[in-house]
Amino acid sequence: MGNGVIAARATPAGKGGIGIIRLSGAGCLELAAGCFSSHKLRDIKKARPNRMYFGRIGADGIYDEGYFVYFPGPRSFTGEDSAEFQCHGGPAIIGAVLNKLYELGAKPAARGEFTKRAFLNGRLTLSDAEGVAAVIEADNTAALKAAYRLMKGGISKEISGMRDALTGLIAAAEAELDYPEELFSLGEQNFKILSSILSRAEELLASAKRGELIERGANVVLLGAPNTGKSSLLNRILKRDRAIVTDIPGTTRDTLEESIEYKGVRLNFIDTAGLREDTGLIEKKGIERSLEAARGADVILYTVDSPEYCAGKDIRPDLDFLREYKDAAIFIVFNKSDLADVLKLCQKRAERDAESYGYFSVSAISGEGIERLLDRVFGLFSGIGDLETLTLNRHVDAVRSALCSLRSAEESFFKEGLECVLVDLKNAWLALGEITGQSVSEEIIDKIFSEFCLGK
Amino acid sequence: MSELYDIIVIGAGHAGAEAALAAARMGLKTLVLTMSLDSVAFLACNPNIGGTSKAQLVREIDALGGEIGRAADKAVIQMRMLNGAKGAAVRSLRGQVDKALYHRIIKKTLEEQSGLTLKQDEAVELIVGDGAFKGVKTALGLIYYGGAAVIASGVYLESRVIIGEYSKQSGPSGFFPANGLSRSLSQNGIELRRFKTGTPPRVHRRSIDFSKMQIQEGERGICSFSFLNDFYGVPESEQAPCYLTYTTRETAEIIRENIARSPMYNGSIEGIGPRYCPSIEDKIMRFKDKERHQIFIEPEGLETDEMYVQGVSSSLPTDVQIRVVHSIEGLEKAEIMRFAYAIEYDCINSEQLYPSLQVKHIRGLFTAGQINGTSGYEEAAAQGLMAGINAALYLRGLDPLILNRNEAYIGVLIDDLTSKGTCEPYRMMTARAEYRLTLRQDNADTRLTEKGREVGLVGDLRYGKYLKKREYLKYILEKAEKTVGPSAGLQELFKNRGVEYSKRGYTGIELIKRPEFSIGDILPFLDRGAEPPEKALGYDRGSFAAALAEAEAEIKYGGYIEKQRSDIKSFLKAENAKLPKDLDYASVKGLRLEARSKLERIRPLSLGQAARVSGVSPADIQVLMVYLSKRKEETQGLKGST
Repeated sequence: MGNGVIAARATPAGKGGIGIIRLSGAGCLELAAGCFSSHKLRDIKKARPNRMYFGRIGADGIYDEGYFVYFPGPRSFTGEDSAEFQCHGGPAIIGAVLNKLYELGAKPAARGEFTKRAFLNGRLTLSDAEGVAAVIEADNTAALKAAYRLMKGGISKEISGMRDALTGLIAAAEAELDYPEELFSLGEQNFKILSSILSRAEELLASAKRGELIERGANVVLLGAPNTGKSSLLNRILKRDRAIVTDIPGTTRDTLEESIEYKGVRLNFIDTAGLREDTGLIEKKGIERSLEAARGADVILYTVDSPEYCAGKDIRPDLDFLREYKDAAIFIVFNKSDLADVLKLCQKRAERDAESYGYFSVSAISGEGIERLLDRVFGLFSGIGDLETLTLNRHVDAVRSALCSLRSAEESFFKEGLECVLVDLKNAWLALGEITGQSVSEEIIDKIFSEFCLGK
Repeated sequence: MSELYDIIVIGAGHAGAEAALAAARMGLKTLVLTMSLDSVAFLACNPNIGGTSKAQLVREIDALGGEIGRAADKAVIQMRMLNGAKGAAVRSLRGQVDKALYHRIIKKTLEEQSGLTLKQDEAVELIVGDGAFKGVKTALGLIYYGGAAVIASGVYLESRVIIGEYSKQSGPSGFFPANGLSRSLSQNGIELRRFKTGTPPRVHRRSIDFSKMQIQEGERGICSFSFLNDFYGVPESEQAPCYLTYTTRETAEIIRENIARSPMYNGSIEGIGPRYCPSIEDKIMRFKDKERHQIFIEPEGLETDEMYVQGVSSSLPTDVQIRVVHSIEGLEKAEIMRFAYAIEYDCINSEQLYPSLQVKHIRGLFTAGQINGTSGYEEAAAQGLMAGINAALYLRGLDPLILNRNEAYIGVLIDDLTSKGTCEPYRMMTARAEYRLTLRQDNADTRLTEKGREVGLVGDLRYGKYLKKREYLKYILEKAEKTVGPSAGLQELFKNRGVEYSKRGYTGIELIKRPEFSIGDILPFLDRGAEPPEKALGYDRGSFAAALAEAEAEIKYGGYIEKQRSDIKSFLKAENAKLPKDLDYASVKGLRLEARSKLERIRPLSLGQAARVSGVSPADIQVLMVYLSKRKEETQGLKGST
């Protein structure tokens, strides 16, 4: 099936430094010959496997210099004869080559078709295929690490472990039902096993939150009274003037979001409109948005104007207000240390006010203390890619559904008959099996291939 | 000399008897060949019918018009409900039966059946032509021609009995072995394998010290096996008791000392035995930590003093067996009448069968029972019935009757055999059924009576009872949906069961769902009380009680049955995704080698069945699904372009 040659650009569309065009299918060499010439390889059919040939790539008057590689099947990515052109990433040259290939009989690859072929040719398991998808989607180092582990089957192992424990539990319950004369009484013991599987599932789901964090990055919200220098701080962190900075309080009317990758972790900084004390915090739409942003925050940087603070300004009402944001890590950032250094002038009071929160003295103007602040924020999320994290929606869905069944089993364990509890236990077992590929339902394949973004 | 029949059944055990009766009752001229008329429906091992999952099988066979339930009801000498305190789906009837009586009842039923000929002779050779069954040759030199056959040879094929160093070509319990048919099966491309089973010793009643044992009486007031019978179990006066005792430390020591003399351990038995009923040596060696093992002493019948020692299956030499039996509490002076033995026999690879139980490459040849690798009377009877029905349908040119896994334990059993195969004697278990909550003994008639009626095995009496029960059921469920008004009586009931009463009013369903109440408790409070709709239907106490039991189970399991409904839906979707008969698995890229060869061999009829084939992984199924949808697209594309 589907043995025709497919071709598509493998690098993102638009201008890029390097553009890769991939071909797969029997006869791809002949097609490739139409777009490539080289002194080193006069007859393309003599191309040696996995070797890069430098030459001229292009067609119809648009040419570039680059490399050609041939990967014979079945030991290629797709398991079929495949080839790649690597040239510059301009749309013109890529377009010219692809048009030529299509003219010669290649078909444009559908979404995920290269991976689909690899899967169908037995080169990838389903989990592998998902891992590949995740690697491609990963846009930061931590996500890449998690995706790599997915490819290596780390999560499968964890879930297999849970599933094995569940298998044991189910078997014990079944034995009790099928051998009534053996007088099994494993109730309490089984319940303990169930509880431990349940908490493992809960942990795994919690790791899904971390997984989400890996992909979307950590949301760091800058919150504070007007003119405490939130925007300057953001600019310093981004090392460019992203936010409009004036000395008029309340210049930032809306929230601004900018991301950086800091030591491999993606941090999304969200600058907000200042919170006005005199109007009881909420005044305008912008401020409402500030609070909205704070609700989705993983980290809140509460900025304080150091000169004002040292002059006696009370920040405790605001801090009380911040207690509401239990899910976020909160740091107090005393800005403008170049004008008044809290550490020197009123450290005791600052310590007292900060209570359990960490606090930093920084200067957006001089850059003093910024590195330390970022390291602290980074510290919250470092190693995140090393945890067993669930990053794919299908996996999260399956664990969630397993967890739901396990909870129902736990709740009914002493109330309902074992045969009822087993309905939930088996559903949980099947759900976990879907991740590791130990059970299957028709929806899976539809879902995966519709979620793929490969080959194009 | 030769004679012509429609259907020839080889063997008159539990499978053969059902197959022959079904075929004859469906109007086909049927011949049954048995090596001994004295071994018809012989209960070669335990003296009971039913038990967990097996009672469900018995009831399903009965609902379809089979014989085992009716015969068991007549031969039963004690009835109990296993898991009686548990939910309806795992409750299972078990009856102690009088073996000699059971044999006589089935034999008489076969003798009286019109269109059925019962003969003592041994089938030794199959006559096959053009890939179809034609007839059999017998040991006595006769030839019988037929359009179809059901082989139900039990454990007789090339069987060998082993007791320690003693080993002899023999059938069970001293009956002759069947030598010859195996060769003919092989010659016709049927793959044989060697299985093993065993049976414990029988001891004389007078030599047992019952005072050291726990007596186990039967129960009163429980229903019968057959939906046709309304009587409630066996009267108390006629309940023959069983006894419970235990092995001792000494038992374990004797076995450990002599384990090298056990043919199963020293390698002289090659057959694969069942994990489900292990020999005593297996139990002792594998579960070293268990201090003692339960032993049940059960009567073999009312007119014999032989007692069956359940739990001491063994192939140990006689001198060791004597010491083992004497080490058991209450059996210190037991006289062994029959020694325990292991028996090895030929059976076939059930993967060679279609779900109709027809051998894939020989049209008209069906197999049923232990020859298919199962163990147990009920499993055998279930297959016998289905093979008999399908042989008859085959001769009429009709589609076979195939029960799905969501419809019957019979469906689970046959699907397991034909899709997954078995590498040890297969025993039914409720754990094997995915939809256990709906496959209950109380609703076997609701599930299957119509199907039995359709093939012509359900007579007017059974069908009438079924219709009546259905009406009652509808009536009860309708009543239960209504609100039960507050009343002093209801308040009293709540108080007695320690449940807090609220005047807000309850529906009958709500009340019946509560674990504290049974449907019987609530019935008097339902709209118009407990009265069945007599005028409309004519009162039938048995059918009404049966309907109550089914209604109670449906209501109590309500939420869970609902949960399983969507599972069943997706299961059926895969079952209905038929695989093309001409599917060339070699052309499906991406199938692993093992999966490809398994699929080519089994040739599953649906995607669902393919998923259950052992050696086929979920990834292979995904490959198949993609292949099928691609193929569909291509065909549709082709249609579109023309």
